[in-house]
Amino acid sequence: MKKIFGFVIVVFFIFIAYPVWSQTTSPTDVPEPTVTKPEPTEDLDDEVDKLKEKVAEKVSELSKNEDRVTSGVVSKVADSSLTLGKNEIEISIDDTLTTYYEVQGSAIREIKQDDIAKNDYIFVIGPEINGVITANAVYKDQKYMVISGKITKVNQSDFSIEIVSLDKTAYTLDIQTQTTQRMLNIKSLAIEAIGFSKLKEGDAIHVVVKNDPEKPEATRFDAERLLIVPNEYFIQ
Amino acid sequence: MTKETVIAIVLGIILGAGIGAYVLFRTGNGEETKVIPVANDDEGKKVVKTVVPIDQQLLEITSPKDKIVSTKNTIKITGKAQKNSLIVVQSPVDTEVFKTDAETFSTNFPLSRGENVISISVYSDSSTPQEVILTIYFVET
Repeated sequence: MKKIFGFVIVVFFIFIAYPVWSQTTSPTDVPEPTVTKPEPTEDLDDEVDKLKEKVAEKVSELSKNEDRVTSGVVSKVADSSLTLGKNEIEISIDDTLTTYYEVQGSAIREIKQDDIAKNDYIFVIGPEINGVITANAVYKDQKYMVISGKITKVNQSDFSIEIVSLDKTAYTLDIQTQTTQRMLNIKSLAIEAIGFSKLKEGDAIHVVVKNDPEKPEATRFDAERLLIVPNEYFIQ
Repeated sequence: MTKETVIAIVLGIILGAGIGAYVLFRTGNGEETKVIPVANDDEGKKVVKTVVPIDQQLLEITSPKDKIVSTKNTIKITGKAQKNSLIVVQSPVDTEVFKTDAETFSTNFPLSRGENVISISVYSDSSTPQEVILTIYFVET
């Protein structure tokens, strides 16, 4: 929107002609200066009309295109574009208009274009015009996965568990000291803190893990937070 | 063809017809079922299907839409699910569990800055949930 307003203001200043004023002199032999007002020509009127039409069309086109969010792992970095993911989605970037940020925990800080590199996970906000996604803002972020499934094995020796997700993928999760472990109380439906010893085979599990863009096929993760729904809930 | 052979054939036909009629009428009184996916197809992942009663209300998220940008630090999630289902909503920042009294549900869920992957799982009549995953972006403009 700001681009359009600036463009319209520039157009008005170019095409509006200001009258020239001069002071009248006392009667002397000095010839009087003449005041001239340029008469608008028909050609100029036509050009102004055409330009107004183009501006209106562009404003209408832009207002129809809501901002889209596109996310993915950066596979290619160029001066005026970024390419994301296996599908090679191309994002158009602008030196002056595109802003760059990094999400760090609960804060977002501004960064530069050079701080975006290959294998970074980003999401881009901007409109899609004529099939091209234009980045108004680029955010570098951490990708998370949320997995639901059942515990199939508990390994006491190395504090890990094996699970099978709803789409039948097998994962191994390492339970670290910083892992937030919670269990559903089947009577009160309250969520209670638990330790590793409460994890058992057959229970339903919902777990959050950090995804590493450089290892897309990985199946072993550190568990960030997990919730157990005991099997007893379903047989009561 | 001997008399014994004819009798055997006739008895065989009668027995077969009787079994067929029994199976037909028994099946007619059985529960109708439908096949539903339990995990949504996100970026080409496998979708596992399961069989549930035909009149079961499927999990449906009415709002928000997937991949929207929010300027607030909470989002209202509304949807439909089987009555008396257990609903688990989980993301990297929070976990909520509640039971639905009706076929619709609603909850205000916190967001962290940046991308929020939110899983909504519903346990209705079995220990295999239906699941929908939403991705919501929280950025302050």
